[in-house]
Amino acid sequence: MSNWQIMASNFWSLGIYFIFLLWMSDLLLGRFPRQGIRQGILCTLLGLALVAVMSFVGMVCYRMGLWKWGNGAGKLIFQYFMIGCKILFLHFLYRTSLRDCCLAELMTEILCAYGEILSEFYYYGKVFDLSVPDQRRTYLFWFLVIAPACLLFCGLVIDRFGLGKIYRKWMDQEEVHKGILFLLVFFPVLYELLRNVMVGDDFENVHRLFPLFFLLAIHLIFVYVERDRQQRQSIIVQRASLRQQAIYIEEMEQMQAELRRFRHDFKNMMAGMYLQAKEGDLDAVRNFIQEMTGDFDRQVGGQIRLLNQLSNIRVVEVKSLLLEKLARMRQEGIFCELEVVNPFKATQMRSTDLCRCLGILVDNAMDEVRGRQDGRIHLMLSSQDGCSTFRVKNTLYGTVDFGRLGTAGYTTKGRGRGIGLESYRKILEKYACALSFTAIQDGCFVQELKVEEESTDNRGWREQRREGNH
Amino acid sequence: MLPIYICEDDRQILEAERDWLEKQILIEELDMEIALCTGDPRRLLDCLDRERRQGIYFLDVELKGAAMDGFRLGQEIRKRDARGFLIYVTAFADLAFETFRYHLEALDYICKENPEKMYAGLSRCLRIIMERVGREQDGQREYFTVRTLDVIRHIPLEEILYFATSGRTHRIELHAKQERLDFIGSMQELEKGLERHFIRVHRGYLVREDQIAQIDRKAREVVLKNGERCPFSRKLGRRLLEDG
Repeated sequence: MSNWQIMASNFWSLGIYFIFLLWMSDLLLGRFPRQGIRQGILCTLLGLALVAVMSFVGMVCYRMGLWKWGNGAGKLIFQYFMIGCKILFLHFLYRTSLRDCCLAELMTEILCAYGEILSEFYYYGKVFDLSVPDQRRTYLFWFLVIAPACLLFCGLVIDRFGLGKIYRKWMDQEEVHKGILFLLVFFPVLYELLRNVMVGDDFENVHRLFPLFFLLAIHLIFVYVERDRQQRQSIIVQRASLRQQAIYIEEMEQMQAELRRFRHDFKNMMAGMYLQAKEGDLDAVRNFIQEMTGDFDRQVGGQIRLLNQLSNIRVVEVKSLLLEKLARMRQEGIFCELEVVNPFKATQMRSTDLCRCLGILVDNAMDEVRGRQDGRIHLMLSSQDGCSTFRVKNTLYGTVDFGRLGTAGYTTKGRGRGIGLESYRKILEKYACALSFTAIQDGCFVQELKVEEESTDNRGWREQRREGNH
Repeated sequence: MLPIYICEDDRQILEAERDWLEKQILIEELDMEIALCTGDPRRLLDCLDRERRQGIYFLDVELKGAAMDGFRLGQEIRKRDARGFLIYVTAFADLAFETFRYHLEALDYICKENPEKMYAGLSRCLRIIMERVGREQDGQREYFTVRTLDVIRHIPLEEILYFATSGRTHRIELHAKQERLDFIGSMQELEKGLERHFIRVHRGYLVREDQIAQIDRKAREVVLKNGERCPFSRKLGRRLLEDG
């Protein structure tokens, strides 16, 4: 075979694997962010150039006799070279981290191995002599039709059974990435070793099962880690629930004390009103009624209102955070109102991230009004039309430099402070569907966080999160 | 003439509101008229469907026997009259007014539990409305309107300093004198729509022309009047260099 023929054959087979990689990465990493005709042409040209380079390198390696090295070592070197190229291309295409690209590419390698094994059934036990026209035709049929069809079949199975979704779930478990990556990197070596070492009648089919065992092992690791994470999460929720109950009991006891006080005042007021009514002084009676309702509102109504609003927050972590903040504000004598008109049941943001963001916003508001007689904080949680809004508004006494707001080291609170809003912005960078708003309105400082909740399905959300990582 | 619409399920309060407003219109010679008094929100919406103009709406929050409450009615009114003045008249002193104001751009709320307080509230609202209408007529400010998920915001163009692309795809940060917000959009579309006042100084920056104080050619930055700096690309900012 001439060099050109080898290159053309390489170009075809590598091209097929490359298209498969693009398809799989679309399922695993989400739709790529590069949009538009220009970007499309650029990516296609780059892809073609990469396949051409790999075909050329493959031809050179073949001529240099790399394929004949013991235990398939030469093939392995070439395979890792291709893996490296494809990872870099994915990194360029998706603008996501190298680690994510590496995971997606290595997963695709396992899936490719399946396609390969499937296609091998076509010529099971046969050795082609390409100088015989009949055998060459059979080989070419396998090469041009059967092998791509098997990859297509594997891809369709993965697409239809939603395996991409399972993979994305794995990807959410950040803590196991390193271990799995380490394991996956060795897949080509182990697979090649098995193919070369386990020969003979007894072992003939063992290497065919290897990718399956490999995937199963990875899946078991993920299941174990997920279970562990769930257990830890449930402990956190239980602790939060206990803390909530303690604060609730404290609230109720305080309300009871207020009611007792009000009952005492109420008796005195009624006695006074009775005398006024007896004298026929209707104006005084009216004033008494107004005072009494006002007092009730001040002493007990406020707390009932607060508890009513809190009952609309159904996300345990957010409720705990706000309960703690409200309790602290009451201790420090900071006036705070809370509005939660509709039940807030769930959010797409990780609850830990959401709590960190809300904590930063509320702490900033508290710092601003602390020690001020007329300082007020207003918290609003609104959940409607597929969108959650968290709004913190406080009386503003100082000035805010909007140009430097959220940048490293900017603070209005003195040395060593000012990392809050910077961290807040960093957290939000991870989420493409979270939008922030900061403004001065009517003498108040308003900080707002909006999270889009229902615009897309899970995959869409994953895509957005991925976009957010850039 | 601004039409006034009242939607209140309590007949007595409805009449009290109407009488007081009619008197006020006569005494103060206000350019307003009572267009409709009803306890049925559907009638109010039908009336708006027939004739669409900026109006003043005094709405009860809990409308007994009606198909919708005051909040829903406010949402429907907003679809028909984006610039109208919504005022809620309620018996609940603990109304979640910030939520109403946030989602419906409601002007105010008035407690009807005490007639004196209610009349004072009505008077306050009429005064604010007249001030706002006067201001609107004096100078027509240009606004940049942007939707951020479920709310639409209007930011005066003269307040905006620059737009910058965020690290996140399709996210744009709006930097104004006293405001900063993220929204989803495209820099190219913004540039097209705002080319009269804004100039693209860099791939990721669209700056208001009259806010530019100087160009720091050495650092390749544009210095704004408030001291902020934006990166500057010679290729894109050619127009700026030619002008100045």
